Amino acid sequence: MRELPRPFDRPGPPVAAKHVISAAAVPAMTRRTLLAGTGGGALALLLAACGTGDGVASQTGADTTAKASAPPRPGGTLRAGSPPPPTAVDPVTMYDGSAIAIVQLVAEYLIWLDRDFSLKPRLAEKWESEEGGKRWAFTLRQGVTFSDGTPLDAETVKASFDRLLDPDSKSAALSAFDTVLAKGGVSVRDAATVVFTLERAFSDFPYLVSAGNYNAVILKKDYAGNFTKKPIGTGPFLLESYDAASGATFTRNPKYWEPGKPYLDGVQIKFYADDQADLLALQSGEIDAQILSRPQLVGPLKGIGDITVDQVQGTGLTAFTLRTDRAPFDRKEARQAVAYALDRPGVNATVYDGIGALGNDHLFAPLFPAAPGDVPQRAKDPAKVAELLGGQPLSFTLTYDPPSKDYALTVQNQLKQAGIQVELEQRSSADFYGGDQDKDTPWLFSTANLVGWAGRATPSQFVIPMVKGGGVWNGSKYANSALDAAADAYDAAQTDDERKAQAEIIAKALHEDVPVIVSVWSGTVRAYNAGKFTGIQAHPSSYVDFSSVSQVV
Amino acid sequence: MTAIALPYARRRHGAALGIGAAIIVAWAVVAAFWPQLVPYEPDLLDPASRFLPPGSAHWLGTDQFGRDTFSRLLAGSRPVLLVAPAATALAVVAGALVGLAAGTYGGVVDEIVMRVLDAVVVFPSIIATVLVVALAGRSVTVMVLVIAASFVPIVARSVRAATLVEREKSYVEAARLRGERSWGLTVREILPNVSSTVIVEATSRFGDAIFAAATLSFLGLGQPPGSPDWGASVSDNRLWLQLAPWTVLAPALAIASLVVGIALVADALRGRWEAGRS
Repeated sequence: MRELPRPFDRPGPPVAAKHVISAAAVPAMTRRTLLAGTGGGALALLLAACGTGDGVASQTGADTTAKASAPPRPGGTLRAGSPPPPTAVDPVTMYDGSAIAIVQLVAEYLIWLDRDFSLKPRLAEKWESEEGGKRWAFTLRQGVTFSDGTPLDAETVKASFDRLLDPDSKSAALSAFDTVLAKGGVSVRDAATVVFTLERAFSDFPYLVSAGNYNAVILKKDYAGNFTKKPIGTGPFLLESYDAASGATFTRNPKYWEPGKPYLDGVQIKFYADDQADLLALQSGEIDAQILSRPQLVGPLKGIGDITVDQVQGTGLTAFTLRTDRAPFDRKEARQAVAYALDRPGVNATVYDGIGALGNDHLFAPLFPAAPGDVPQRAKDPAKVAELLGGQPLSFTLTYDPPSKDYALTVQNQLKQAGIQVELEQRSSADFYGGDQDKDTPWLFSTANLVGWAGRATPSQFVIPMVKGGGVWNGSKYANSALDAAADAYDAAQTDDERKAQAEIIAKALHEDVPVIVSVWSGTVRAYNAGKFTGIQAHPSSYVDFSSVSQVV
Repeated sequence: MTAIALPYARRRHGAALGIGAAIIVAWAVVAAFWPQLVPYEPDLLDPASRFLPPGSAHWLGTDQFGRDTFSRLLAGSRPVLLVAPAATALAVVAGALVGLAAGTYGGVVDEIVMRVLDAVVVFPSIIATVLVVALAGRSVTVMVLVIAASFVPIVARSVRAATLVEREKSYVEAARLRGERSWGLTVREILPNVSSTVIVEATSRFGDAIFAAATLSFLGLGQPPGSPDWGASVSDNRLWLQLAPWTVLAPALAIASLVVGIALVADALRGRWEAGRS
């Protein structure tokens, strides 16, 4: 997982409403309840379709229904496989899935982002917006201590966010807070209350301090960047040993704040540099689960023995970006022709093993509650392609880096069938994302390119940087003042109706103008041995919460 | 070698030469005419036919894109049989010239040439290749040049050694006494007598070039993405080795068969040469 574009934009209009969310009243805080609290009734209907049911996730493989409903059986050590982290494990700078998983076992967020994109209170018990969404107060859970006995308080939380907001810290979360929260914006109201004063109203702010912003874990005030040597957190496990080559071992945190949890005595993460080795380890019983499963590799294991493959919809995508200010894609018809030439189910089957959700050339994944449902799904239409091209040949160079190779080959082949010639230009990742970010970096300045975007918690984290005029990662050089205004209004919206209305404006503009082709929204999977453990789940961002995992009775 | 053993050895070398040549010719024919031989378009994606095992519709199954493995196997012979012979020819010509010059002139020329070749040999060829590809980009021409460059020192050393032996012989001395100049002497007198060395080197390097081309493609330094090239196919499909072993075995065995064919020819030529000398 590479660190990829994060939010945001200019200050939006102030809003008047104030809403309060209490964990005491709502044990599992979801986006549904968050927005319902603001008076949006219609959203309940929308979310009913996007909830935690079959539409979002499914589990295939061994029949674990009876086992899952049994009371947890404490004890045991879960062995999980994962690629070795490419860099040092540091919560402030981490960006890869293995490092994030290691940190998430030891440290916690104010809020957990669950697999259905609901927000669940963790170190914060409740949060409320003030001044129309420009200020947010978080009330901390009482009685929480770090593994060294230090109590959690508001000063500690402030220190954690001050660290993330400090440009000198090389924080990977800086882009997430850009134009929303600046250094100095965090204050302490009392020992149990932290206040965030934003640069502009932002109704999705809780997502930015949740696991959705994976660097936002709460660390001790004196944290100095040596996480694996001094791993202190409030999480369910204690990091006992770490070796960059072989793996990490964890034991149960006896001081964990949630009574009875975790159920496991410990966790062992083993590093496998090769995906095949990771898979073989799972099959042979050397490990019990994978942290980062690949759909195409584990798909064939469904139903074989005790191996279960849990899958869930995600919000990651491969953005097929077209330069709207340069031939041949300065013509909208050329961009639309490419979009109509793609066989999206074919891309889903070939590149995502069929677990993704079809994209519709806008940036609202089906998992996002505000995703508009009335934009007609674009499908392959050779006659339309011919009409749009008007007999003119279309050829272009598609630039990408190795992780997008399968997607590139699929696109090249599909467009060839429609008479569109694509020359592939594969660059190394360092080359593709390197160069002058304001002048010539290939991922922002090539005629057409493929950029893999990791999943995001909010659609604004795609819209603002990717397609808003002057967006920091606007590789298409798309400019649409109506969309820009709608994007600002979306962030400041206080009701779900208002939010949906703005989302529809944005989605329809993108669908019509096609600065970016979104053919599929990725899904994620996690394979594990259901004969031994229960409670292991896939997560849209491959996050790890093993606090509820237990041995099978 | 005894009088009894000699005919047996000749027969054995003859059989090896025949089998090896047949394998090479067969692949050469495939490389030339694969568009007429393939049952499917090698690059045609078919999402509904992914990872099909070998069967009547797809003799060698399909890969992750639903592409026909047999068709890609045939099409993949062309890149290898373009790069390897070209690189070998270039290496042999350049290496032979350098070796002849060093061996014939001797002295300072020989010292300089050999030290330069030593320097080239000790530099890891794979690192050199990565550097060259990074600077010059990925293309068939670059592949040919980097493979040839890595073989030149080997050929030059062999030819130099043979030249050093030949230049001490009486026919060379006689030519010198006739007043032949160094380069004319080298071309007219020494070269014909080291030609067997050159031929054996050429066949040996040809096999190495097949491996080198496949290795570069395997590492992503050779053919463009999506190419049916055998080395690239092994690399692209190794992730699916457990799920679809045919996608890896087919190109791997193709590489092996071609290398074995070339090795048989090289071995037979070397045997005949040694038999002729004895």
